[in-house]
Amino acid sequence: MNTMNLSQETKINDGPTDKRRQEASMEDKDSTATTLSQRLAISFAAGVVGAMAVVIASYVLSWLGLVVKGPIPFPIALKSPGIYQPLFWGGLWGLLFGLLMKPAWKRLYLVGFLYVLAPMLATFLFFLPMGGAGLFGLKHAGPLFPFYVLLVNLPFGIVIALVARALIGKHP
Amino acid sequence: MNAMQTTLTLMQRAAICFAAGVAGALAVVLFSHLLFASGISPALGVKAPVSLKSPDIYKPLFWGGLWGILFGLFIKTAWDRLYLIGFLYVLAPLLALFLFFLPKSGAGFFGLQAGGPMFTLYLVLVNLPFGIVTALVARAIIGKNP
Repeated sequence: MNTMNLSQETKINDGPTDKRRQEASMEDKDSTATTLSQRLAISFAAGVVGAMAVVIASYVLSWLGLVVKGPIPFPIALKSPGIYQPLFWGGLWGLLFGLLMKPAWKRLYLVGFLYVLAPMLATFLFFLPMGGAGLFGLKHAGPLFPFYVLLVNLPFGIVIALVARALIGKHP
Repeated sequence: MNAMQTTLTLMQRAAICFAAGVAGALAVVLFSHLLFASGISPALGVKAPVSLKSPDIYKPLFWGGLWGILFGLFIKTAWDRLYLIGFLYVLAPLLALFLFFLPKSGAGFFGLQAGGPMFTLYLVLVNLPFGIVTALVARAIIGKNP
């Protein structure tokens, strides 16, 4: 009987502790609600939306009369199958963003805004030179061209961050 | 514990299935090359597999993602029979292709005006991996509970 009582007392005493442990465990699980692969997949979709924002920005700038000619034609053509290329690449850049989203979560919008520099650097230092347009595309365009490309692409990172944040919620 | 079982929102599932749908479409593209290399596509009167060149390749991948979003909207409901429903889900894009996109492009219903019943058979065959791969990838990303 003593043993039974002791056992019951222990159970009674452990009750609230267990509850607290469970709650703490739930909070821990909530704070890591998404796995890396889930964040990657969500960021891929967010990257496509970011690329859509860039396409829209190219038209807005065009309507405002801001067009600089160069090796990349602006506004981005909406014709198929050409339109799918920037959208898909937006998704691929979104994957990379998904890798660093969790460490950057506290400054997500700042990091997101600056993240446009990643595809921009790849464009200026790799894709344009590889296409024969030279570094920053300056072989086939004036010095304003790189700034214009940056301006068109400016919404990319911040839109990815906003969409990813909206999809993921409070905890990455 | 119940809260833990429903950690993903509808939007999260849709976004994840967008990526899964892209993977499903990639499987279709690869399968078209496999069918071509094995001589099955030429036997059905198809002259070339899906182009891997840019920008042609991006179109099927993107549309795979869009069909993936639709799959993501009901993946939770279909969770208990995910692979069966995933496998059958290929019927959705196929029906759209047969009854809308092909007639719109002048190939007629089921693409019968483009290559006869063999072409229709090819389209069914080549698209077969789409739904099941989408389901498998979605399941791998989502985990045990949708």
